[in-house]
Amino acid sequence: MASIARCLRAARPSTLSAFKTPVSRVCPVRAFHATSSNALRKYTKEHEWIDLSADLKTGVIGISEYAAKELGDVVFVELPEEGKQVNAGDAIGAVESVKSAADINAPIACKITGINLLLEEKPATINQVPEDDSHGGGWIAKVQVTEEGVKDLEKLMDPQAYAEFTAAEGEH
Amino acid sequence: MAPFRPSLSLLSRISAPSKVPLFRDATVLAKPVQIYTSPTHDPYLNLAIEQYLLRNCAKSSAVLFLYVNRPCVVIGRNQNPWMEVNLDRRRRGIPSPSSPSKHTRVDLVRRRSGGGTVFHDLGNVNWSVICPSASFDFDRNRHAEMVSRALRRLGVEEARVNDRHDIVVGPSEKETYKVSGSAYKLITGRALHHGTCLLSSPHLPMVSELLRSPAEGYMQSKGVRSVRSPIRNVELGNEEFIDAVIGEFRKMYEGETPVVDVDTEAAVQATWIAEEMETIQTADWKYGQTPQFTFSTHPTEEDPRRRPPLPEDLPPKLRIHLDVRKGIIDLNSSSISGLRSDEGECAVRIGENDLYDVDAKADKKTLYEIVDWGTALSNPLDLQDPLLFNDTRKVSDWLNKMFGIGPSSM
Repeated sequence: MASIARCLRAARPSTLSAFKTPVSRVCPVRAFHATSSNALRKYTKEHEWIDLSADLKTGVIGISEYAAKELGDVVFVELPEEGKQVNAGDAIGAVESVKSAADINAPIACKITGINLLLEEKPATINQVPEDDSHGGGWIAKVQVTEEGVKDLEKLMDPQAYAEFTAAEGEH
Repeated sequence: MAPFRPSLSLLSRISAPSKVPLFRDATVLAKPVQIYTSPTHDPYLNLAIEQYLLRNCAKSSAVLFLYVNRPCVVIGRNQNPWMEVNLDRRRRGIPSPSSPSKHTRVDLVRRRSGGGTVFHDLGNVNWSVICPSASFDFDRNRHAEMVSRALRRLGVEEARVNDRHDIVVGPSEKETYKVSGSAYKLITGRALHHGTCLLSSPHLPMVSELLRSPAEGYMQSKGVRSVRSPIRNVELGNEEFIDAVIGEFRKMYEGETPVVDVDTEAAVQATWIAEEMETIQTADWKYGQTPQFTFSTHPTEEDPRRRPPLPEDLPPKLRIHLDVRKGIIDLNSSSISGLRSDEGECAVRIGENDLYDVDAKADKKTLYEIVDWGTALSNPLDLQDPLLFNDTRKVSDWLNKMFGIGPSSM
């Protein structure tokens, strides 16, 4: 995600409160979560998240709730290309909202193994449940993590650090 | 970061460092405030230069780029040209204001930023501001306001920014005319905000027809629809507008930065720009990047709207349904039936007998590679059946018109 957080602010006051809630509770009632509850979640400064399997072999990518709020109504999602091998920071797709096409970047080096076709039908899912990696959620891609990708993880933030990061961004 | 490239093999390069740069003196791109103008009216070159500046200027810099394009229709990144543009009219060109019997060529361009469709010509100046997104504490109106101030300084006192981030003029809130539209592209750390400004376009009476597709009533498309607005010229010269925008930009970003007129000969030789220009001129980019859509002559479960009546000379039982993804017709979910006006039960498989089809069993046909629907629909045996032959020709002519297919008159 490009840094929409700081540049496309439609309404600011309410956005920060969202981050006082731990991200893992975005959809607390969903019974069949696609990843286990102790899945490892990391965030980028560009507001993407990645959920990793316990063995760090696979993951799910999406954009953060903070980013989704700042973007406004998402009207189209350019989904990543399946099978594509990418490096950390490579643009893998984009979301369009309010006349803006904003890149989505790969949080780590990985191979795209699946895309969320629901977003083709209902792009607004990104606004409703951006951090939900289950069926019906606003996740963007499923990936296979490469060796390089495991190293890239070190540069990412855990949910706590990301919450502090976005809170600081909002204070400027 | 590498720019996003669409899912096409010819576009899937990851941006390598430019082999040939735009400027020999790389410090130009490092300056904190940069102002560029372009001497070319080539829309592809200007958009490629703009993308180059977005991706190559120093991460902390503020950049202004001003350019004027020859007549063209510019669609947003995620729009459908068959739905937004009268491609048949575009193909034939628009009447020249000075001598209506002559036609002016109009290019179709797909840009990388979001938003809707606009028309450019030599009476329209495009402004573009590139900033760090991290220090860009802006509402989306920041630079539209800058341009609006420039217009007011030139005496267009009623210029103001509306809630769609457009600049409008007009006597009241109820009666406004759009003179400038906005669109944005965001990449890591950088934001591009660009817009048009209608100053003295001689083609305005043609714009409404050009931007109204005859196929619209039959189509349902994913992606982004344009919002239609009445437009007007502000009746200013290009040079005075450009000077005023530069003045306002300098006020905002402080400094007597010199204006650099981009050397277009160097630009077309700069590796990154040359590649970008080539990419955005391909049919795969202009048409192949279209979000999924359907074209159906009759109401369907997914799209139950009433359809505009079909021309009376078409076979009465004609039914056409096309399912198009990335500009490619999925033949398994598309159908054409009722081609014969006397019996009605004549279904064809699109491209079944198409001499240009390498694989007769192909289940896909690229819509934007059809050069005549007659070839895609007709069977050599039709020649022995004059009625079917005639009916197929009428249907083909109608489809050609709907999809803007035919020889370019330019």
